[in-house]
Amino acid sequence: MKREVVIIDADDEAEIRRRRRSSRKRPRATTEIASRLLSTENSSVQVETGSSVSNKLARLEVQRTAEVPSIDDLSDDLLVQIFQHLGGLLELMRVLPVCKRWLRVGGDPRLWSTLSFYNYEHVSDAALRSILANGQALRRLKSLSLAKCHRISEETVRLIPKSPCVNSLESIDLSWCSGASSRSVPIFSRCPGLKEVKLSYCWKVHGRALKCLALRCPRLEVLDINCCTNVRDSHIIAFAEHCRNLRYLNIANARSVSDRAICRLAEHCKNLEVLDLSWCSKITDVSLNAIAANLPKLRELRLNETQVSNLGLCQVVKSCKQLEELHLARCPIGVFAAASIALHCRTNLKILNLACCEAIPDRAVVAILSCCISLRSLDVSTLPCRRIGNIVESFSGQTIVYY
Amino acid sequence: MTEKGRIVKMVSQDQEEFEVEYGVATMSTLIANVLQDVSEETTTVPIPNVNAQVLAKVIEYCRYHYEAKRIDQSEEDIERWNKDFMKVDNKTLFNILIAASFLDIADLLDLGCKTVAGMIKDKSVEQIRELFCIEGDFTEEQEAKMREENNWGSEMSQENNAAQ
Repeated sequence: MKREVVIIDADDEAEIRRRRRSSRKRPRATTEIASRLLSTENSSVQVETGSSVSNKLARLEVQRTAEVPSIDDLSDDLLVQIFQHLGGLLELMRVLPVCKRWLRVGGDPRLWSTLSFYNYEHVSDAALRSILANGQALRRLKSLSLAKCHRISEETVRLIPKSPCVNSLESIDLSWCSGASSRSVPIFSRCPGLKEVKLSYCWKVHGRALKCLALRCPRLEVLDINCCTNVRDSHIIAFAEHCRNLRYLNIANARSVSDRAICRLAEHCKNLEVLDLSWCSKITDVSLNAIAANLPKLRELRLNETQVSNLGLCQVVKSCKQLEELHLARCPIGVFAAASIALHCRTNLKILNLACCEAIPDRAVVAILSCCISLRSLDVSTLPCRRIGNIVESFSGQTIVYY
Repeated sequence: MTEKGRIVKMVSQDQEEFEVEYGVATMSTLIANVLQDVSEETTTVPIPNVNAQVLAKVIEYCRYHYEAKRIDQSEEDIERWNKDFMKVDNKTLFNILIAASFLDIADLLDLGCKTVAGMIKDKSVEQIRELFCIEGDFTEEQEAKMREENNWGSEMSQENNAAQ
């Protein structure tokens, strides 16, 4: 080979050595191109000047970069960024068995901040266990959703707060999950950073099991215990006293919770933005007065099938100026409440549910429609003989009316 | 020195020069940082590890997005343009990715990563290997084990397909 022919002075020689050294990492293409270059041009390249050497080298380099790139040439960091766009951890895990490098890079903790089994609700107990066994990668897991996963055992859920994610976990969703129970849920109180707990429709979770979370997770902001069993005043008061940052609270279907608990809640958790008390059948105007006096940030209030009446509701709509959503299905309210809504919720109210509020007359519905300019949805279904079809048509805008 | 009318000369690895307006060039955070303390009318910036072909492509991207921002182009138009822009062979695509990461152009990097991710998504391990010429370097036992562990995923997607 006449490779040496092109080297003229010492500077260039050093340069060529440097380049060779750096190109050794990708031997295949470089040698191939170099030899091709030499075989086609060596007749004319007997003696050259320094500048043409560097030109040649540059050209060589160009061809190298033009020929070589494959997915193997991307840095680990770039590969991680590509993996981040796959749409989720489960999609990621599907492609990791491509090669050893992918498997290694796929373990990067940056990829493991959210694990959701949305669309993969059939995940088996064994599969979840094998994921939980992936210790290092779980170190930074922030959010885990097992909502509606119906093949998960209580034992496996108990393993989650014992895995390395215990210190990083901020959000856990076990709604409808078969493994959520009074034995598994309290163990999550080991997670000091927990901000979000969703236990909607976890029948097997009792109120007393929740108390543990209240006492040991002071950072809780979102709590959904809709349909948990035997939720009592003392449990709600525990959350009120220890979790002052609560923004979202859903205690729907807690039939034994009374005004006493809600008053304490309103006094302590002044940041509440969403409150769902639907089907808490003991709730009366006493709760509403406390809410009106203490919760100026409230955006969404659900009171379906409670005992609230005109006076309490009037207080709430007067004081909670941010209200965007109000649900009052089957509440014993009448024209006075409807008039207050029309008067005080002119600008912000977007969704209003008055289904089965039989004491509200047609003219009150029309008043609400004409006053509340932001209203997007109004539910006045199953009311007796509504004759407002033609009136409603004149408010065609954005408002959808069910009747 | 106003930034308007200022020209930046970018020199590719193979010594080709590209004259680019300041606003276009500084979409690269790297170049923006380099130019921060320089006030001359024309500044030459060598880009030592990006070749002319790729640099031209990158500049095309920056120029379009600079203009699009200026004339308030609609989201759909930009989206469509991006899609067309990314219709390149794998080699060029990876080259653009490497260049975007070196020059620190976040949007282009994002677009490139999204494109590659889109190519990977919904493909089997074998298809991905074929697409990117990757050799599977696991032993047969390892492969079998991983297939078993990952089984529930494919099980689900099959069920989903059946449901559709």
